[in-house]
Amino acid sequence: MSVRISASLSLAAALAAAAAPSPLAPAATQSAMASDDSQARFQRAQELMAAGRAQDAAALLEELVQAHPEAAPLRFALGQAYLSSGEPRRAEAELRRALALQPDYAPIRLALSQSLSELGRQSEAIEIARAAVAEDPAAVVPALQLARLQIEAGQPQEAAAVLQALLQAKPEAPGARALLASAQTEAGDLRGAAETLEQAVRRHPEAAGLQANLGMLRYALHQPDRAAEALRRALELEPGRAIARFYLGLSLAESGDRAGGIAELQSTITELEQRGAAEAAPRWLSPEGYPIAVAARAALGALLIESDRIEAALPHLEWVLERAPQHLAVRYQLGQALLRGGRATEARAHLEIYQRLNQARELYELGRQLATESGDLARAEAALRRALELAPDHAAAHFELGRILAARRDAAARRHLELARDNPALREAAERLLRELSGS
Amino acid sequence: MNLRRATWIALLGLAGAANATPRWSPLAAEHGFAFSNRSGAADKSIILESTGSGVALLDYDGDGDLDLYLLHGAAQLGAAAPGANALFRNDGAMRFTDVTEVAGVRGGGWSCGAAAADFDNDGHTDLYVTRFGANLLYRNRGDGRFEAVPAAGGADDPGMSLSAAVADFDRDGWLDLYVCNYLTWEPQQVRRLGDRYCFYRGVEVYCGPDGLRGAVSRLYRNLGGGRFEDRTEAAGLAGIEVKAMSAQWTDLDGDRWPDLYVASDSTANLLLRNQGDGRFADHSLLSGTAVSAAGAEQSGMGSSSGDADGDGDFDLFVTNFHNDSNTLYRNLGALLFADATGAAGLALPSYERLSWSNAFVDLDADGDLDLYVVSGHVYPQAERLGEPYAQRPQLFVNRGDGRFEDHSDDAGPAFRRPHPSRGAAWGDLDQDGAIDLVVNTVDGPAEIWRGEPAGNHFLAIRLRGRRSNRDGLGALLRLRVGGTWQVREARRSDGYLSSNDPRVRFGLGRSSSAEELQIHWPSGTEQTFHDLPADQELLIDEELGLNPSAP
Repeated sequence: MSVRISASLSLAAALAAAAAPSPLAPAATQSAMASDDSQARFQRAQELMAAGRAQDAAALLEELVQAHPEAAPLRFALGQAYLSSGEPRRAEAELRRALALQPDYAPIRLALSQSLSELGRQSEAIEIARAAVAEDPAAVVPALQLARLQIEAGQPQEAAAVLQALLQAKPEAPGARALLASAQTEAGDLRGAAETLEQAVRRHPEAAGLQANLGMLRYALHQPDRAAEALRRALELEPGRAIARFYLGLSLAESGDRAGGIAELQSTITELEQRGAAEAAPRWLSPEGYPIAVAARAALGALLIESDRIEAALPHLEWVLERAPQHLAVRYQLGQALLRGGRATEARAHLEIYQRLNQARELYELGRQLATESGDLARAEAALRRALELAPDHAAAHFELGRILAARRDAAARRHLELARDNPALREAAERLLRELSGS
Repeated sequence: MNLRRATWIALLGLAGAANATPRWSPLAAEHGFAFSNRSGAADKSIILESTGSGVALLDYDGDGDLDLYLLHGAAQLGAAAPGANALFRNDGAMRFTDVTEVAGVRGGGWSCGAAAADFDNDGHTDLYVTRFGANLLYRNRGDGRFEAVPAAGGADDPGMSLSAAVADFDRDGWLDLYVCNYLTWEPQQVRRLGDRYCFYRGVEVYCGPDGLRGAVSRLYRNLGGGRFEDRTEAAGLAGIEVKAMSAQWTDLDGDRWPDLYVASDSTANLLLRNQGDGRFADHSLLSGTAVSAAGAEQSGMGSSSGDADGDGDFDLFVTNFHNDSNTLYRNLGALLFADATGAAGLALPSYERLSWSNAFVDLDADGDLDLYVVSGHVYPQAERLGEPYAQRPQLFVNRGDGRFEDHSDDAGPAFRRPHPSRGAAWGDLDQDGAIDLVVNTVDGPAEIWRGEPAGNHFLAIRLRGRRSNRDGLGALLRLRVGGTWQVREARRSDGYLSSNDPRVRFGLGRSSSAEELQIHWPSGTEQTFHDLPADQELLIDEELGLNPSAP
């Protein structure tokens, strides 16, 4: 889950503070910013940021900061520009200077907290965000940021508590209920999450995203009829929402309407093909980072097999394996389908690959568990290396191994993280670790 | 069978109660049955404290009704516990007397499961007891007492044994054993609750089975005379190391050799085809019964076999973990199976259960196999996550087409209360034609659930082998009622850690008789009987035929 705060919003706040006299900007800053030339260059930096040219903005702001070293808003803006340029280490340094100049300005804390998060220093990031929340417990942005960081750091229950406190103070806080539902989902409280989304949907009945999320949660709770109801509402509001149609197909099938499920999955595939977009599936649906089309074809293949339509299922399963050769479930299903279709030799070949990949998956799971839950890094590393012997393209195993090696500053980490980067679901985290390695 | 009672049942059937859901009520304590299981620490600090114990139903005194043998763990693993298994004699009318001391079957250490069978073909049912440590074999002397066979006649597997399944796998007339071994116990590898090492959804729990080594389960061939030899290696099974929890001997390919299906925890289940030459071929993955339809290994606990869809071959059912579904594998023929759990209506009701013992049995006697499932979480700590430790049992009534409906809410008070259940066995304890259930729990009292007759007719077949094993286990029985054939197999280890009623049960619905009964004995003997009146227990001797007067 991304915890990146909107750079443009934060910069806007900084620019507002810099361009006009503000109670947040100290008097020295106002005088320092008085020069017309500086104002014009600052305006230019603002435009560059808005155009997504953060590095150019940073270059301009560096000159301005040199000229006005005591201007907290400039340093804040520069920190933001570094953050947007993927340089969290420089952002941290600049933001700390800004904070020293203007210690009571929450947006600086939030940006600093974001920088630390990008550097993988989650506990420091959370502490700083917590301080921002403590300054103004009813402020929406700090609470949302703290909660996002806590979710990312595996503290969803704490995040839920922050969001519940926020909602008590500000029941209409935008985005808070959706984030609370995410926190509850991460904490395994799916029922609580569904209730939260029901409340959110009642307040915003036209929000297709909320309806879709509610439907997906109901599906995860094995309440397919209620899931279908919410997903249909989402699709009425936004017919092109592929993920909602995909889950509607699954929900119908699970409630016993297999033909309806097949029809919705076929529609999902058709729509995605017409759009020509490889829309990414959410992480809970595909931790491997496969697009929705892969999940839809896999599910359709499975439903067709369940309906004894083996020949109809085969092309879908083969399509998936061409694009996702490590897809375990589909590899297995194709093997079984071929066996049932009397093509034993081909079936055996697929099932042998399945066995090898499955063994690799088990070793990866063991390695991940040992590394993240038990802290037994030596055994974790051994398990992950064995997994990669069996499945050299196992991106998640590369990532975990890269993480372990990076922690002890082993140069081999880079290769594993670069390989992990190929997986869309792991790209952001792998790149962050690579940046950290480069910085060190 | 009490004929007056049978007549009453028949009248109930005619009165139109045939479609009623069967009901069960817990038997009150004053009936002489009181047993409480102990399985280590209440907070379950190591994995072996969570696997529980079973129950065996057997007619140990040969008086025609089923007695109860309950298994007991211990306060602590590895301690020299004196043993607290208990044998209850059935005195009729649902009254029981604890005869453990006289019978000499108290056990010792940590007992898990029991397989009741006539291993020496002397007409008296013996007991094989699995334990964490060397297993026990109690030979029934026929005088109300058992004697422990030294080293269990060679079957004293020292592993962490859970279920044991009995069949005459080589069809030589002697009942053999397959012993499920769960883990290779390496205490130095075992982390406990409190070590802050293992977590379930963020809550600390004991570690395993992931990260722990599985074990080789053992095949013991009965040589006769109370002796067994370990044929694991010779049978081609020595290289198979899984986390076996339960096993079924069942003829899955119709070649009359009992195949072996093994439910395994967090590893692939096994389907081992009996080649008929003393060896087994691994068809687990190829058969489609190793993993779920999505290719995912599940947490196989209990298992059972039965013709769920009435097509004449045996389907398989396996119970699994919480937040996962149980799995029904539909037999397609040629040793191919399809995961039919969702289509059969069994997936959705199982996600919020962690289930153990189960069996296909015609509980409403309407001619098709229903299914009961008992459940209970392994982690007491999961309560904090909203996953109850004690869970309600479930009754799934077969609609007649292989689809099941959840009738748990209508199945009487026993099905409305949650229990931390593990082993369970079915049998007609009070000879009223209705199936009763006996359920063992973790750290709590076992219960007898008395079944109320559902109003349909039935037949119960007791087999007496001559050339085949004395119990007739492995015999295939086909009964024609109203022009429709029902197929059953004489088998008693369905479920988990337990032994069921040895009598083969058929439901006749509203028919007051069966047209034809065919029996295919393991020896190859075939018998056919015609026009069998309903609501009775028939004794069929392999040589002497129906209800012989000779013993």
